[in-house]
This record gives sequence, structure tokens and C-alpha cells, in this order.
Amino acid sequence: MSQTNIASRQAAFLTFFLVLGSAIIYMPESIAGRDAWLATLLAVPIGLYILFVIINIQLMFPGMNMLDISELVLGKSPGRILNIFYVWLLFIISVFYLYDLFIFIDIVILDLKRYVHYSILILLAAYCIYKGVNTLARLGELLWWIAALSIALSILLSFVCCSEFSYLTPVLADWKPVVAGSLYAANWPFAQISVLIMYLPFVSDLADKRRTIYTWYLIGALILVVRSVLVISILGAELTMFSRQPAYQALRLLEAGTFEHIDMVFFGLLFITSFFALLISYQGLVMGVQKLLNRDDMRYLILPVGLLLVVFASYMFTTDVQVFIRQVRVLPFHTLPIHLLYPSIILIAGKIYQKRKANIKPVTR
Amino acid sequence: MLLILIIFIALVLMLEFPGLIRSRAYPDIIIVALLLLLSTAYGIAYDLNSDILPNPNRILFSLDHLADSFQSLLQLGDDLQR
Repeated sequence: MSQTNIASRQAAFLTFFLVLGSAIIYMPESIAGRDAWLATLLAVPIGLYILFVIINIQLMFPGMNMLDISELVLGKSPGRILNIFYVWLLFIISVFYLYDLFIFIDIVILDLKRYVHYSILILLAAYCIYKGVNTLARLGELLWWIAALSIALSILLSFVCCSEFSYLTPVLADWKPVVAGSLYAANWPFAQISVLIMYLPFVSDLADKRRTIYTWYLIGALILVVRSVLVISILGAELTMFSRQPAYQALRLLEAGTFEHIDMVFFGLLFITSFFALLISYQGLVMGVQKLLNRDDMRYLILPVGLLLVVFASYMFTTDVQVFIRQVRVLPFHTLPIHLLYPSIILIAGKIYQKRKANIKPVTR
Repeated sequence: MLLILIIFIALVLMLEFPGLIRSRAYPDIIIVALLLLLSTAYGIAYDLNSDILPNPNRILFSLDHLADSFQSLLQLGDDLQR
């Protein structure tokens, strides 16, 4: 396999980390209260639809970047306008992932200025991105089992030690919060699977082994559903709704014999998934900017784009109280349409493009 | 923030500029310079606690009213908002 190609299996692990991302900690669907797990479950098809659309587009135009496909099937100017929206989306996703990771680390361990946090995280991510897509995919392959082991351990401990499943009843007493919760969860994390658009051109065996990607997406989604069930059964609906980081709050309550601070083991897990989500979106943004500006190389854009993320994250988010409410409640109305429409429009235009191409009769002499 | 800006700009100058100048990739140099300039402008504005530059939040959260309408449509009270 060449240095720029990745296997479907590796892309599947990237999908897995992207689904878990920072949403595993923050649980945006917690507005649904005791039915949050139902809200998570209802949001899963949104990501599945986006995954289906982007994989199908990639199979129609193998090896081509989605931003190039957009300009090919829609025409230069409309394609470029649509691409600007998508790169804007990548920028927003990356800034929020950076901010989420900062809030998580800041509350738990360090007490540095926020832009110092941002810079450390971005420099760490930039180093990985400098190594290339292949290295990022291999890193995912190396770390997935650590994540899987920690998740299995946390689920087991939660079941044994602290779960009170009566907190989950009655089920669906009020459907309205469930609708709201599923909209919020659909946007974050499930729709963010669209970031994978930037990685699919590198997948060498997509046609044969695309099922692996779907499988790992569903595994990630299942973990989020189980997470919702366990968090509510440990914290209760009220505390879950008002907690800033419900999953970590629940993990802090776990006990295993005489062992103390076992939550630090899970801190590693939550850091890995959040950092991977930042890494994937940051690299996607760099690739997006490169394609948008029509450049051949992306290497020299890594640090300037990283600095842009550091500065904008500092400039945009000053107080956490307002940011989180808006990130959960308002952002879906801004980003979810782009997540859904960008690939859908390209798929429809791509189908029309291919049909027209097939209808053009070969000129015979 | 100024120190962070200096560190990043120094890293770009050390790691990327020599290669770009050697290969005479002038459009790429201009792009990098513009990105660094934009970051510097926003970084200084942040350091001075100034809101003179446009904040992307204004675009992002311009749909506040839509979110409020959605919440009231579902009759979700304040107790459900964090």
C-alpha cells in the first residue's frame, strides 16, 4: 500500500473515533432526560444516511476529492460556492472540537490560559498531520483497542457498581424532549461523519470492503446509546441534564474494590476519542483549504491553519455558559443543513452527470 | 497570546518558508502570509480585548430565533435548558 492510501479497515476506525468524538463526554442529547438513550438511537440514521451518500459518491468517482467532484458535476462556480460552505463547516467543527477538548482538560487537570491549551493541542495534532493521512490511519488502528478495552471496562463497572435502572422509567412519558434531543444528537456527533468526505479518496478498497465502515459506525453509535443508558442510570435524569460533562461525571462515581481515582483511566479514553475527532477535522480542514485554493501541496498550510484555529477559538468563545447552550441548541440549525445538503446535492448532480455522459453517443466516422 | 503568535510564525518561517522560497512558489507564500496576517490581527484584537474585528459567532448564532422557535414549538421550558 502506498504512503497516501489507507485501507477500509483503517477508515472504519477513523469513523469510530469520529462518532465517539467529544460527544461521548458532553452528551448533547441530555435535554431528553431519562429518554436520552432513545434520542441517541433516533439520531443514528442521520449519520448512516450521510455515510451512505458520501460512500456512493466516492464509488461513482473513485479517487477524486469531493471538492473536485462538486466542481465537476455542478460546474465551476456553483461547485465552488458549495465548497466554500463545506470548508466553513469544517472550520466550525474544528474550532468546536478544539474548544470541547480544552474545556474537558481544563476542568479535569490543568489550569493554564486557554490559548496555551489550544496551542499545545494544535501543535500535537499538527505533528500527526505532518506525518500524513496514512500515519493518522495507522494511529487509529493502534489506539482503537485501547479505546475498546476502556469502554468495555467502564460499561462493566457501571453495570456492577452504580447503575440504578429505575431512573430510566417511565419510557417516553413526553416525546417532545426526545425530538429535540435527537435533533441535537443528529448534528453532534452523528452528522459530523461527513468529515470523512476528505478521507474517502484515499481508501484503496472502498468498493469491496465498505461494509467495514458501516459496521464501525454502528458500533460507535451503539456505544453512545449504551453510554446514554448508563449515564442516566448512574446520575439520574436531572443531574445528567444539568451536568456539563455527564459521562465523565458518571465515570468519577465508579468504584472497583480499594482502587481510587479509576476515572483517570477513563480520562485517557475520553481524551483519545476527543483528540482524534479534532485531529480528523483539523486535517480535513487543511485538505479542504488546499483544494479550495487550488494548491498542489497541503504541508505548508498545516501550521497557519492551526494558528487560525487557536486564535479564532480564543476570540469566539469567551464564556463557557453561553457557548455550550448555543453549541447544542443553535448550531444544529446552522451546520446540520450543510452536513445533509452538501453530499445530497453532489449525489443528485453526480447521477445526472453520469446519465448525461452515458447518453452522449460516441462519434463514429 | 503574542508569544503564541510569535512561536507559530517562527515555526512557519523555519519549517515552511525556506522550501517555498527555494521552489519559488510565490502564490503559496502569499497564501501563508495572508493566513498569518489574519491570525495576527485576531490575536492582537483578542489580546487587547477588542471586538473591532467581525466575530464569526455573529453568523453562527444568527439563528438564535430559529432555535428559540423550535424550543417553544416543542414547549420545552427553561428547566430543560442547561
